[in-house]
Amino acid sequence: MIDEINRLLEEGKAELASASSEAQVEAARVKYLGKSGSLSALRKGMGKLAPAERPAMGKLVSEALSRFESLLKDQQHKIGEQALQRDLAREKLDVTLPGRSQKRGHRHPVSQALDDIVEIFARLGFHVADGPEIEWDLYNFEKLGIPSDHPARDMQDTFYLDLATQPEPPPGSPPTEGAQKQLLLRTHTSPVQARTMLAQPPPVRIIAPGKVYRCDSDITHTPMFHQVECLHVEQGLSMAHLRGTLDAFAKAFFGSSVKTRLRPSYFPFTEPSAEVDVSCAACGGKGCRLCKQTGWLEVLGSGMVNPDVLAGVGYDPEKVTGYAFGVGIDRLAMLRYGIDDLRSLFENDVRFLEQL
Amino acid sequence: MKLSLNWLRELCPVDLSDEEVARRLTLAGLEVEGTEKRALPAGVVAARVTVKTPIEGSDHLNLCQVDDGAGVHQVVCGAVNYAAGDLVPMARPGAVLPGGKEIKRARLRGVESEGMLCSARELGLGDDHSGLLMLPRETRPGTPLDALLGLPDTVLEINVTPNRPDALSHLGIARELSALTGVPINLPAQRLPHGLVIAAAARVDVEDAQRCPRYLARVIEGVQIAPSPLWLQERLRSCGIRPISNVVDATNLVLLELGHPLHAFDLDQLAGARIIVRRAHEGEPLTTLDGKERKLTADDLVIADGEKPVALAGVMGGQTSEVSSGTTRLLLESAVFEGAGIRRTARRQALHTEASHRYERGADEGMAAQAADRCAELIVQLAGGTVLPGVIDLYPSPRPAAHIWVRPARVSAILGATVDAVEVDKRLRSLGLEPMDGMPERRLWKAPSWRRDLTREIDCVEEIARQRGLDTIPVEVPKAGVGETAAVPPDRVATSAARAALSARGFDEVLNYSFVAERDLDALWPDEGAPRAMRVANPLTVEQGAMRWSLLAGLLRNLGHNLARGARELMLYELGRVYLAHPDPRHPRGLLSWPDHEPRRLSLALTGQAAKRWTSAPAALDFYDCKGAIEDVLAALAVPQIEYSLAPIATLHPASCASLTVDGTVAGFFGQLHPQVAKAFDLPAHTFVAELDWELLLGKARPERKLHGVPRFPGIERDLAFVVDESVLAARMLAAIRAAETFGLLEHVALFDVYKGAPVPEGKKSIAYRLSLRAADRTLTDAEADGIVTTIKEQLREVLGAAIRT
Ligand SMILES: [Zn+2]
Repeated sequence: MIDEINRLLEEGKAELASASSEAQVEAARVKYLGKSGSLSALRKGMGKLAPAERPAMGKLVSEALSRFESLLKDQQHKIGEQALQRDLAREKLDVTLPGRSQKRGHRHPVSQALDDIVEIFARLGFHVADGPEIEWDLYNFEKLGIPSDHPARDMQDTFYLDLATQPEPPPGSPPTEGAQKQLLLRTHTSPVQARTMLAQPPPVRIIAPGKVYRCDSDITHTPMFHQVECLHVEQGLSMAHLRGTLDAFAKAFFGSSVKTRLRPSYFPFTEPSAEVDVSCAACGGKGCRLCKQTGWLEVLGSGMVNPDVLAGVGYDPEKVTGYAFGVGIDRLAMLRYGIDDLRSLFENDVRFLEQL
Repeated sequence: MKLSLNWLRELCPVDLSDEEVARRLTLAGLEVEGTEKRALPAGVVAARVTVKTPIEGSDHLNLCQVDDGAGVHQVVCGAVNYAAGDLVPMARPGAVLPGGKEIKRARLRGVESEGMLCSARELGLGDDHSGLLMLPRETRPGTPLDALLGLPDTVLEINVTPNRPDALSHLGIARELSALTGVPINLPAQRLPHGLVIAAAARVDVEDAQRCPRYLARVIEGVQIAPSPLWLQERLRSCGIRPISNVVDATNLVLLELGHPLHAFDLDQLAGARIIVRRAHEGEPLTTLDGKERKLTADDLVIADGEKPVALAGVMGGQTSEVSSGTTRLLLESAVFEGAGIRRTARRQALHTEASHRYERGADEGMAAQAADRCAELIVQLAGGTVLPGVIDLYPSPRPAAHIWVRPARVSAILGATVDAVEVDKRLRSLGLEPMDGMPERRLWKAPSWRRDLTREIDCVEEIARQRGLDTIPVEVPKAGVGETAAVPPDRVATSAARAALSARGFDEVLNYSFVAERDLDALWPDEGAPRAMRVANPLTVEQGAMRWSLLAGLLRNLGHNLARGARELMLYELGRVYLAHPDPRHPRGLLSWPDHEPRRLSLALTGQAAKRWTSAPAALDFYDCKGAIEDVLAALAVPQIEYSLAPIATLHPASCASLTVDGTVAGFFGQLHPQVAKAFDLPAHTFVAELDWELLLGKARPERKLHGVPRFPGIERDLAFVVDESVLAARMLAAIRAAETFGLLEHVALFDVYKGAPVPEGKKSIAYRLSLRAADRTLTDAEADGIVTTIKEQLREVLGAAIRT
């Protein structure tokens, strides 16, 4: 019996060792360990032995069985490993082929800049306010200290509206030649100042982004462009706060190394008024073509809210003061993205748009 | 305004470089926008033509003997406007003319030429190229032309803001520079004869004193009209004014020097030797100096003589009374006209002149007399004659000077920097204000007559700020008050999410003008009932003539533009306002009314073929690309309760048009462009568009999310394919499936296949769904799942006649 066990074990060992596929291993398993396998049969043959022999012999058979099982597992593993290696060696992939792509869309540069600007002012505590683009003369000019026949109207060439039925202008509108001149396309976002202040008591801390219109078209002017109006009215505000806000904004938009400069100017609805220049990023302030050799780029108009404007909306200019400014967004977008023709912003050529 | 720095330095002799003058003016609010160096090339001198003989074989060339002070040279010249004895500019060999032309000894027609005789244009002095520049006879040959003309000079282009008419002159800028530097103004005074003699020579009546607050006249007799001296011509040219004759040039010189417009009439041409300042009669004609016959209105102010208008007051003189070569007696007008009236006339007549520009902004009554005297004196210097003693001066109600209280504490509060009373005093005095009354902490100041813009304390604050420089203002970031750094408003969160969704799908954002061609709007709606566009009264082009009531007009043009440039796959969107001709429902009437309704729309336009990719077959963009984008946007907004239904509108193909309903309200439409519309815009038939009511969608958006945690029990998935009539809508089937399961165990239904063709019978389609079933509180059993599926099958069979496909 012992011989038989050893013989079968040796035989099985050899068969396993020569097995080179999972099928052959499986065949060996069935042959030795299957229901009618030869090693399994040994266990069945135990009944024929004398009871005294059984424990010792049983132990031997068990050992042989577990030994074979262990060999079987090793061989299975080995063959599995070989098969895996073969498979791995077979697989070929060009890792340099492009990935599965999806067309990506692009934001419009002006809309992107506008969002960024609104975001910056939100951080500075400004809320977004709104007004119509088709606006009454009253708000676009009159309430801002620009009556008709005022030379300051030359600063902004105005589009007027030609309506079949004219809506009723708000009370206080100036009498004008022909009702047609009451309605216009706003020339700046400043009308939102008057609208906001008329609707609420101070303090006011708003920005008003949006489209504005002037009859002008060349490389640096388009008949429609975008502004963000900023207005802050409260007790105790000074020009230092204007400078601080402008500086914070310019640094947030252009980067922390940018410098700002205020230059006295004139806007009817602010006083003192100032143009704001930022240091030219293209040349670092040394002077180049973009900044016309001055080292500075004019980016916005600003000032302290004219006391007449405050009084005109029922605020007391002795109690509250304010500052305001209007940023040309398209120009900021041009500077930021290095666009040299403003008109290309509104051609909507995808070869341009998809560069952003 | 153009400003000669030589001239400025005469009035205010500062010891500063040109660059420094420009910088200081800019930082004081007189922005220097450009700089022009005016100089003559070296080697251009005055030369006398001594002999002029025609060159044989040439019809226009002459050989001249020319004395340039250093000797006699021979020069070939083609001009015709000179004779032997005349003095003209000669460029010697080696001189480089403007434009880079170098003068060399040359042979012309076989004749040696040792220089070139020049016109004004050749020397860069102006546009005149009709002949040689004629120099005064008394000029010494060899004198460098520079010296004759007062060159070299630097001319600054200054942007004078509309509030500063006082700065529209050399004197005005000199005053500024004087205030900035402390260098006093150097302006010679005139002494002209007093008396009443003038009263016998001319008479002036002002009928509209409101429109003409001051009219002042002097009479000069015995003048001789001739060209002005070269230095004067150069002064005018450098400031952009064409020299005409000594008298006219004198008025222009004084205009540029003192900023006050003057007009010289030929007194002998004034009927009745009279001036009447009055309104024009409606339709009254006047031929102005530019040769145009103008029809006047009753709002126009004219200067008339005894019979007819002779000038458009404050704008332009008339031809009949123009100073001409035979003029000997002058009436010199120095008046002040009301700005708004001049502005109306100038605009009506489309006539913008140096005079109207200044009057519109406000002339200085105080300067009228000084300017008249200065000009009269200059005319006598240039043209001879005598000024009649006396002056006619109609100034019935002198404009009172503004008196302004100024508090240094207020100045400091506005500027955010400490400005004490001493500094306030110093700065206001330097600008010509005079202290009248009060204490250091609150003083009354009288504004000078030339600063009409100074009427309030804030005006003085601005002046002080300008003088000290805005860089002296500290930088202080205002603190945000409590609640002011509020959370980002929900509609901005939602809008950003929607934009991100569109970007992720490949949509490019466009921005179009709000005004479009009206025919494009008409073409969008080839049917009755099209919305009416509001028109722009004065558009730049007809392409920008109408306010858009739909974003599609712009977007479809964008598709066309890009297709024409080779684009194959176009997916565009625009988020912007449309303009509807009725009041905004949010602000319908009253003080804060909006004139129109300007809701935002989100519109899409797509056409073409997705680009070839090695990972997928190219596919034409279609209806479901469009709908998918809309679904992504709505998912980004988390808009609930959306329904889609077939809804024909004129813009869209009748079979491929859908409306989108949120909570029972129509929120937009989408589909394939109607073939007629596609044709009108020259676009492919397979063009898809959408236009959504962004205000409505934002109102329905639920940007704030609530999370429900991870499911705690496993779910079961079952796939089911139904065969139904082709006409059965997917939405109907989905509703039926949902209705069939009443225990809340149907977590999700996903349609994953639509199939037509064998073995599905003709007229039928197979639609397959994956049902996700789950109970929130226990593990669902297969038996339960089977039960649900069976109920759904039965329901669909009953309601829609659906068969199960196996
Ligand atoms: Zn630069």
